[in-house]
Amino acid sequence: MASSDYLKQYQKAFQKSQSYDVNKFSSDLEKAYNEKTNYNKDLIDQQNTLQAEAQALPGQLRNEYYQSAIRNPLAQESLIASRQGNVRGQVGSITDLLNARGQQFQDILGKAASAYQTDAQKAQTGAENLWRLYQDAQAQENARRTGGGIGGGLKDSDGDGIPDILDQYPNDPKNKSKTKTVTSTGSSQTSFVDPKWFEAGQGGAVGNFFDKYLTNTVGKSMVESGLPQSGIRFSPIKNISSGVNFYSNLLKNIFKK
Amino acid sequence: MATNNKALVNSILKNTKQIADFSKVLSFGNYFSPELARSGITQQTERYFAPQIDTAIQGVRQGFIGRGLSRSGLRGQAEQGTLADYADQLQTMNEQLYNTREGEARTNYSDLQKQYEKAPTSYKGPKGTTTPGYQVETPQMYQTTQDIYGGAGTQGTGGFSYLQALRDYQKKQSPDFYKKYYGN
Repeated sequence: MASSDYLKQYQKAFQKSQSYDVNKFSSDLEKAYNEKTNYNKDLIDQQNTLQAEAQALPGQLRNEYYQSAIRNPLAQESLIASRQGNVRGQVGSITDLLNARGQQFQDILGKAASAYQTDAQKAQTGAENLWRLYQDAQAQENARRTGGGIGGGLKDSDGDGIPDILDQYPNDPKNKSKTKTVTSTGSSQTSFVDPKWFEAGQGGAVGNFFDKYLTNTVGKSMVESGLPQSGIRFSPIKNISSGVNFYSNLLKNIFKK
Repeated sequence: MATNNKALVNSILKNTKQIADFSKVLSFGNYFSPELARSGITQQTERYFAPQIDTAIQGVRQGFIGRGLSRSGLRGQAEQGTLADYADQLQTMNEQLYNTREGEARTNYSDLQKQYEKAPTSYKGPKGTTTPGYQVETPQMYQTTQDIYGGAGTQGTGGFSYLQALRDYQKKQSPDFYKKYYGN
C-alpha cells in the first residue's frame, strides 16, 4: 500500500480517536439514563409526600389531642413523636431505595465508562500503528527514490534482496560464470573477473573491499584493528577465497537482518 | 453526542428498564387501612377497660349510696371524673396501639417496596389498587371483622353496663377523636 493510503487511513483513525471523550460520554449516559428512568420521579414523589406528612403531623395531632380525652401533655408529645417517627422511618427507607438506584447507575456507568475507555485506547493505538505504517512506507518510498532498494542505500539492481557488491561473490549462482580460476605460486585459487579488487593480493583484498564499499564502518575497523575492548581478533586470512567468504557471510547476515 | 458515544449509550439504555411506580402496584393506603386498624384497636381497648370502668363506677355509686348521697350532684361529678380518667387512658392507649400498628405497617410496606425494587418482575407480594374488605367499621361489627392489624372475635360490649357511658362521654368531649375511632 502506498504511504498516501496509510496517511489517509491514519487521518481517519486519528479523527476517530480524538472523538472519544469520557467525561462527555458519562454525562450523556447519565442524562439519557435519567430520561429513561424518569429521574426516579416515583420515589422522589413518594419521599416528598412522606416528608410533607411528617412535617404536618405534629401540628395536626396537637390540635386533635387538645380536644381529646388525653390530658397529659407529655403523653401527647410522646404519641406525636412516635407517630412522626413512623413516617420518618418510611422516608429513610425511600432514601435507601434512591441511594440503591443511584449506586446501580454508578455501577452501570463504571462498567460503561471502562468499556468506552477501552474503545478509546484501541482507537488511539490503531491510529498510532497506522502512523508507524505510514512512516515506514514513506521511508521505503524515499529509499527507492534515492536509488537503494536495500537498507543503507546499497544498490540491489537484480532485486534479490542482496546488495550488488555481494552478488559478485562467487557463491552467488548468478555470478558463477563470472569467476575464473587462476594459478599463482603453484596453487589454484578462485578469482574474479569483476570487480578487479577481488584479484588483489591476499592481504589487500579484504581491506580494499571495505575501503571501497564500507568506508568508516565497524567492519572496516574490525578488520584493521580487531575489537580491542572485547579482545576479539579475527584469524589471519589465509587466502582471498576464505577471507571473502568470511566477510561476505558476515555482511550477508547483517543485510539480511 | 459523538457517534461512538451514542451507540454505547443506546446499547446500555436498551437493557435499562424503568421500574414501575410501586405505589401503583400497591399503595400504602390500600395496604394499611387506618379505619380498620382503629376499629380493631378500639375493640381491644374497650375489652380491656370495660370491666375496670364497671368496677370503678359501681364503686363510686356504692360509696355515695353508703353515705346516703345516691341522688347527689357530687355523685354525678365523681362518675364524670371517673369516665374522664378512663377516657384519657383509653384514648392514650388507642393512640399508642395505633402508632405501633402504623409503624409496623410502614416498616412492612417498606420491606415490600425494597423487595419489589430488587426484582420488580418477580415480585410476589400483595398488589392491587383496591383491597376488598377495607371499609370504616362500626363497633357493632367488631365481633365479626378481622384484620392483621386489629383484633378479632372479642366479646364486644355485651355485659358491661358503663362502656356505653364511656363512649357517650368521648363523643361529647372529643367528637373528632371519637369519629376517628368509632366512625360516626
